[in-house]
Amino acid sequence: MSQAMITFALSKGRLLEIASSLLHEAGLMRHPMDENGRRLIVVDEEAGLRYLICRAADVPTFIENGAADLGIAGKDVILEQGKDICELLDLKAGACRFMVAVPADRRQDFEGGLPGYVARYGQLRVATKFPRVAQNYLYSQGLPGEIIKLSGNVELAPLVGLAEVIIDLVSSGRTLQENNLVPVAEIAGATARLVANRVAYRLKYERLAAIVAAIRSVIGKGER
Amino acid sequence: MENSGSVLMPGGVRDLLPAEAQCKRELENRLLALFASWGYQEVVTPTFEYYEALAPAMGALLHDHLYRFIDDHGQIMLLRPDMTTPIARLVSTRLKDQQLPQRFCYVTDVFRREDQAGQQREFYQAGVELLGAASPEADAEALCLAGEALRLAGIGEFRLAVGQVDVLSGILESSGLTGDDQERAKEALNRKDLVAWEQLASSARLCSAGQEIMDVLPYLHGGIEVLDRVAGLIDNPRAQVGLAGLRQVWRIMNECGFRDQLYIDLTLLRGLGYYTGIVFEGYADGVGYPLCGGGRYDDLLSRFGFSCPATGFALGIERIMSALEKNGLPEEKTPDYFLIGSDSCRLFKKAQTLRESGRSVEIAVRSIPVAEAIAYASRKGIPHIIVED
Repeated sequence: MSQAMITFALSKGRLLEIASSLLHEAGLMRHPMDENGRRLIVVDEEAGLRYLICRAADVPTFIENGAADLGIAGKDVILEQGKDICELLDLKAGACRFMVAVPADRRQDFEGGLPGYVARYGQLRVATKFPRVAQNYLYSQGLPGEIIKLSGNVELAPLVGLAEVIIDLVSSGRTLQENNLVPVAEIAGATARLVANRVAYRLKYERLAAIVAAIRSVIGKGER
Repeated sequence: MENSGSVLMPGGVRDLLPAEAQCKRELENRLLALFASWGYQEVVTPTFEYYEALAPAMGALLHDHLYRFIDDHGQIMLLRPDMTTPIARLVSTRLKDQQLPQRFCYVTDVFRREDQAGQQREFYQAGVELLGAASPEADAEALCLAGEALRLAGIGEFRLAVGQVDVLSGILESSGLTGDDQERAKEALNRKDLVAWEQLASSARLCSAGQEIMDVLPYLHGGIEVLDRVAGLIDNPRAQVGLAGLRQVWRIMNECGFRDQLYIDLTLLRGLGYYTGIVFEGYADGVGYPLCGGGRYDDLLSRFGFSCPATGFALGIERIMSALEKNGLPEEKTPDYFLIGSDSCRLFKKAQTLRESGRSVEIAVRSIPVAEAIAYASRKGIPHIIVED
């Protein structure tokens, strides 16, 4: 049972670099993967590993269905999708934060935080790419509010009157700055995580545990 | 709606064409025969019941997935999301004076709301409930029967992962975590979030023994040696009772030839606040979801006013079928004979005689020439044609 290939789902973009250098350092991947490669499946016969290259937001889907055994996904995607997958390791890389941000010139309206704003103005519209995270945040704060789901460039929404606030993933904060937005609250931090299918994790535990241990031993070493 | 040869169908429900339907029926019949050979009797309960009667007894997990509707009298109804709750209701209300233990089994469809694409909303389950027995032997019976069922279904290699809710609770109690943190730790395991578990373990100030058990617990997977290791790490009466039970289950399973399948993982939870002792799931290669799951639920029947320990499990019929799909679908069954002739009365009489002797027979219900009959029979794979003239 343990001789079969282990399938590893990696996402394109920001996380591929992190994942590939981490796996390389852990001795699991001989040559770091080329960001510009076009192949969607890369097989490493010798190591008994097969890599699927997919969109970041799709990693949990591949994992939940068992199309991949292991994967690397951002905590942001994991939180937003709420899929039934095992979260094994915090890779302590690719850190960013879920923030609530408002236009800088309306900052004084938010001095009492979102509750203060809602108490004064009654309504709150939140533009976000992460409706589940946003809704859970509003619930946890006991705030009424309308979630406006956008696919990107969320910063536009408050500038044109589509929403009062945005909830978005922030890494350096430059995009907020350039659009005259300021953060008013932090919801949660998000780093890259090693995830696994719940069946694979128990069915192929011996092999997965060895991979997890190898990766754990190199977490936090080097700058990512 | 344009007629393009297809009819709109909601997501999460499906048709089964003859080959698949036959495969499902054969599997179900074999499972029912197996359950009967262990002394389980089949029961049938309504597809829908009063929401008020069943829902309060359900775990949060099921409750979030209920289909509800309002009937002609304004009553809220639910479509059954499982069979364990209706059977608990049945036993608590109608059979509580019967001799215990009682053994019931079922094969049926269940209904759950799913917001994610690709998840079945109507699916089939076969399962058993063993009511009125709290012993490790009852747990072993449920586990053995689950193993036998997977074997009988033709699942070559599988694993039965076993956890124990009391052992986990006992470990957390003796770890030195605060009550709130113990709940948080359970929630983390229930989400299968080992990162959150680790964060909890490192942020709480624990004694060295507590720290050690928190650190190693998620990585204790395997056979009987796991129990030895855990027993050496804690001194909690509740957990020790649970461990002794697990040990007995392990001995029995070992004797019944499930040594290589039984797999202890004390982080397995299957939802919070529902199971009260041993919980388990069955896995096979190539299927990303458990093939079966179950465990001990000693508190459920008391929610119907009848305090009675119970254990059981359900197998996902579609999931077993997809694990078997690698072997291909079985050949469709075709009749043994195709009967043609001009005298309909004689045809029906002849067919009746053949059927009485155990043959399956298809009658030509319109008169067709012999050549056409041969072509038809060969297309359908019917081996014999009888011309009755």
